[in-house]
Amino acid sequence: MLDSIIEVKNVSKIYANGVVGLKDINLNVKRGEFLVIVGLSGAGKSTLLRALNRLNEISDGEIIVNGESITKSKGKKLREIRREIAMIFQSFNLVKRSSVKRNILSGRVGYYNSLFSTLGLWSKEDKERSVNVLQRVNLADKYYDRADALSGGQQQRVAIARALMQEPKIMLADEPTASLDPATSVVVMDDLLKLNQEEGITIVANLHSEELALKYATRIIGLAAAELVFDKPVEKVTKKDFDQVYGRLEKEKTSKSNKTKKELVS
Amino acid sequence: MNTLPSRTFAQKYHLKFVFWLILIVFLLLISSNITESDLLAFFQGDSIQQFGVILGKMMKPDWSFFPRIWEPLLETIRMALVGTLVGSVIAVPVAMLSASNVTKPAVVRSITRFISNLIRTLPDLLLAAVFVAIFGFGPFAGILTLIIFSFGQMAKLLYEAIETIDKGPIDALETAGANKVQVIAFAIFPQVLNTFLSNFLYTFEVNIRSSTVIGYVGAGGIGMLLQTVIKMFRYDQAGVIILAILVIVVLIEFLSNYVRSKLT
Amino acid sequence: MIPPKKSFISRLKNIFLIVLLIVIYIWAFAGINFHGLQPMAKQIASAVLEGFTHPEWEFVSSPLNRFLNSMFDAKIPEQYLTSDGEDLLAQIMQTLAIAFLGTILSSILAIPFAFLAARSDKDKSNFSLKLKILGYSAIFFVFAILISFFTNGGKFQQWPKFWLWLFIIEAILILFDSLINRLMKKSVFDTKSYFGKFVLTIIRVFPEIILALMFVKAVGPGSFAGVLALAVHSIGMLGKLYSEAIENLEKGPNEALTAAGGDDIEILTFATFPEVLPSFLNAALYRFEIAVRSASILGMVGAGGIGQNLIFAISTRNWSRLGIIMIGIVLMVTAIDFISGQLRKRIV
Repeated sequence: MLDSIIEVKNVSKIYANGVVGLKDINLNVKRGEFLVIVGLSGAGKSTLLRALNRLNEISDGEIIVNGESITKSKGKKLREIRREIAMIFQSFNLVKRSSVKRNILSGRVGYYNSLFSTLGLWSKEDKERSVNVLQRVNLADKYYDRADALSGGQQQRVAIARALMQEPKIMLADEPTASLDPATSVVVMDDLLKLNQEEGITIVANLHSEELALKYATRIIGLAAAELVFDKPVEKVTKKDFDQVYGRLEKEKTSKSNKTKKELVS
Repeated sequence: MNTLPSRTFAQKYHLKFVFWLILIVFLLLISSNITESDLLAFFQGDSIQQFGVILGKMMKPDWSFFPRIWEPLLETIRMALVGTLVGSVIAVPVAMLSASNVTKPAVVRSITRFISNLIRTLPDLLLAAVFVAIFGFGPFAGILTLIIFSFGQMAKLLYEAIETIDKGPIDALETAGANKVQVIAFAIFPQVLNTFLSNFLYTFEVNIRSSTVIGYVGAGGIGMLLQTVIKMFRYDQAGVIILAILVIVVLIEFLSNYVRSKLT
Repeated sequence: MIPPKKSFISRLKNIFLIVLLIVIYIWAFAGINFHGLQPMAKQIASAVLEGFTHPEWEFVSSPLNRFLNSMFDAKIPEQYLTSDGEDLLAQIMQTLAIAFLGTILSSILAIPFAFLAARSDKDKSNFSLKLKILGYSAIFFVFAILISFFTNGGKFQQWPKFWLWLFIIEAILILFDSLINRLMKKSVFDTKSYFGKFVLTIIRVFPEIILALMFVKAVGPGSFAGVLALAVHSIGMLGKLYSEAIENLEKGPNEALTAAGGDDIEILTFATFPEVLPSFLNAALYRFEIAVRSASILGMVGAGGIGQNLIFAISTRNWSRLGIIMIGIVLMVTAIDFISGQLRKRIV
């Protein structure tokens, strides 16, 4: 139990309009894993990922991060847990009109009193750290540029640098390559892999692409229609697993194998 | 290059930001000085009470006055209807002359655009005051004002609409040997009709709003009645009129927005 | 192949609409009563035209007149030499000052209204979000106090009570709304947004000239009344434009800050504010263009600016002065439109 950094226990999510987002999900993420979640859009990948740092509320169940329940925390406690969990997004979510410097420093807000951060009273170490993290993604020459002057791939790497400012133990990546071309996608994924292997940051990523998932993950889980359909180390994942996630078999077969898989998983 | 770039002096000390900040503070101080603004005096002395007294009287409308506002209110709507129509009709040929894909000579375009730009700089009340001076009190001066205003607005909106239409149908007709009139009738007109109607309604909205106030200088409509009752310090009656204006303006904006959303 | 004809009903509908339009216009044209058309119109019109073609150039600036007299012996009559502050340039400066101050004031006053009128996120219309909104308006409430402090030469004695009331009403409404949400387990009404939009509509539609008149009664004739009238009236349009900017705000950067463990103030300063600032500035500049036009007529009811000279010129039938005033207004508006347009291009 000690080596699992995220525990998802019987988590369900039902949206206000009655749509089921997640159905009784159980999942343990181990320290140092590179976990990839695959599934069709609308299968609940994003909902699950965003529940892990409580960007989305869940309706039922509990999520424990690093030994503490994020679903039961509030206020300052919640912000402190979030500090340990960095996140990068499909659309980068940089403040486009602010400088790269300001964007990166804003990743550090969890460590500051809001008065100090608002007035821009960053410590010397944090300023140095902000240069340092940018160097790690090879973009230090863009330090003073405005974020919207960068290309998509560069913006995503700045977002990674911002995430690194948190000194996170976990990095969530919500479709990090979906708005990038294949070549840039590899650069961004390589950056994530480096963090995973060299610094032992646990990575949980949503990916659309089978190919990328197989190349980078140590473990893959599949979601279909809000349910967990498989959960395997990457070596054991077969084409059949992907087929059922992406609904490429006949419907009957899928639902049947869904059941068997679910039994296996639980 | 994975090192920090160097910054110029201006970048380092955010001179651009400092410049704008100083400029705005400077302009603020100058303007407060020129206008002798003293917000505190407004909130302290009896100023705000005075304001409150008038507002309070308006809040107790004299409903028995209501029947008397019907006729001027209808006149206001008539003025806006007529002004918008006539102004828009005059604007059509001018817009054609201003659009680069209809009118080739640049001289003609710049002259017509200059005229409609010039007209749009004039505030409606100013025009109304001048027309009242020339033609005397009454709705005629108001209608003239609204015609001129609608003309300026429609000419601009319309020529912009014409310039953004699809060029394909024009080319097709021209290669088929159509003359200018045929091109306008079969290629341009169908493409801009909906935009024209939508802009027409928008101008009508604006005209309804301004027709309620231009009466204040004597150009007819409900504004004229408003001025009369305010001159007699009958704020309770003014309250009825202002409420009626609120209702009519909101109603027409709502209707016009609804129709415009259907048009596009 | 002949395409099927339009259905009878849809053709009937079109015909009905066209007939309706024609009837409305017959009613409109027939109903206009051209009473009081003055018989002298033709003579006056030609006199006005005469005035426009011979504008009273001496009215432009008294210092300039003195300069011309002393340097070039221009022999400009005495009456034009000493009217400092009453000449065209001074009046135009005053008009611009009214527009500027009014717009700056309302661009700040409009912010709490905008947050009030902006629809809240459907999925997140929970209690804490409402408290957050309340917190924001509290911040701007403090801003409003600071601004009144600043524009008063550093004196500070009384609270802007109106803002306090607005704040209290908002708090009550938000509590009421959350109570409904709690009981019915879902968001039915966005009370806060409806209330805000309602207030903004009333402010926007209330005739500006009447507002100016009310302020003239309150603070006496002069440009200060004009500033107040503009500041209040502009809230209607600015609040609407601002609230649209807030509703269209990209949620992404806000989420990124939340994920990094930022609190509400940090989210506001690092993500929300930089994201909406360009739209706010753009709206304020656009409103300034309109305010310049308004400020040039507010003088008609005694609220300062060039309008008072204009109405005086008309009532004394001084057509050549009217001519130079109109030239002045046209040039002023054109120049401001140009400058503002350039600035707006650079913001986007």
